[in-house]
Amino acid sequence: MRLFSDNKKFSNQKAQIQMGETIFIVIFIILIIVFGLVFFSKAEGETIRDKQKQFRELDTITSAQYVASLTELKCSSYGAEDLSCFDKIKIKAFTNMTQNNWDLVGEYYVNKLGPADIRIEELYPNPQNWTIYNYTGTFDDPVNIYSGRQTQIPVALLNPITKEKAFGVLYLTLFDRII
Amino acid sequence: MKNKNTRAQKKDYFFGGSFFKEKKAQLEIIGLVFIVILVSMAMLFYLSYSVSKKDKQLYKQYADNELGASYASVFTKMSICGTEMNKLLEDCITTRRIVCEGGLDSCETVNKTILYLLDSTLDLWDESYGFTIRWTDDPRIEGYTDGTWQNSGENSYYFDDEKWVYTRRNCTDETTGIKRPPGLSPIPVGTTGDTISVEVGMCAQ
Repeated sequence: MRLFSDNKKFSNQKAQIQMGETIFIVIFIILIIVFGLVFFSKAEGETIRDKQKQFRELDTITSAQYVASLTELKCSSYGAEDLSCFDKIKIKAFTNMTQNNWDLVGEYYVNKLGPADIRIEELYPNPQNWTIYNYTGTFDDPVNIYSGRQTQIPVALLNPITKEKAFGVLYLTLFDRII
Repeated sequence: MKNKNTRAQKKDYFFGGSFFKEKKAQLEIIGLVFIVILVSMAMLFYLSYSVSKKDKQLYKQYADNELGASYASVFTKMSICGTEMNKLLEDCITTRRIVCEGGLDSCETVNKTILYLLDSTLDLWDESYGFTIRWTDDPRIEGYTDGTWQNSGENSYYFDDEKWVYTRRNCTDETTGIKRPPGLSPIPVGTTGDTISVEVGMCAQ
């Protein structure tokens, strides 16, 4: 009886040991999978942030091209458009419109450009600059003003009276809305 | 006696090697599964990282190409010394008859203006670039091979086989030259078929 009891005791222990091994293996594999998932999700998070940054940069390019093609600013000669050229008189008129008649035109340009600061700077021969558009949000439309990313585009600035072209730069800074 | 046999059996089971002999296959399989999982994860991370890096390069390339092209175009169109920059360049390379403000001739005025503009724009924006004015009767760009420019020195202008070249280069040591295609603004000179090219390109990074 005692012999039988000792063997049975050992067999029970052996079975427990085997069960313990199996449980340990399962836990180990689960830990590896969990670790891998955590690592992968962090890496994916980085990738998503990178993608977000790229889309924001593409937005900047889109907005810059939109501004560069605005008929309210572009040069024209006998009806033909001139690429990379802004008319100085149109710039002054546009600046006057956005600064003094914002109620009339603000909503239209905010829908097109969103929160942004757009400046044109003449470098040569007579340094001067104009802020043609500036919208940094309202109480109902909050904007993160520290999220600005700037693009610079060289443009020719035409004086339509003297027909002289100055060297200028279009500075476009886009901001993110706070959601 | 029976207890001794039981203890001996246990001792033999654990330390006699039979435990490991019975479990060896399982241990091998666990190791294999572990390695397969690790390798799969590593490949997954590498693939996702390499794709996103290429996207970044496409955007940067587009932005740099646009900057180079518009810079060269605006530079040649700008008014200076009562005429346009392309006329002043033509005079600088050919007859040097035009005298500008301060008694400077066309070449001196061009040089001064270039330095002022580059300092106020590309240098201020911390861009790595190459700015070259080249006179050639061959419309192909010299020194531009397989998308890589050859470094021809900084702030130099010299007569080389009767061709006039002005170059300013600001690429850092990590770059090997301007890899992206330059923005090109060709200017025909007189009636001889010669061309002056103004080229602005961003350095490889």
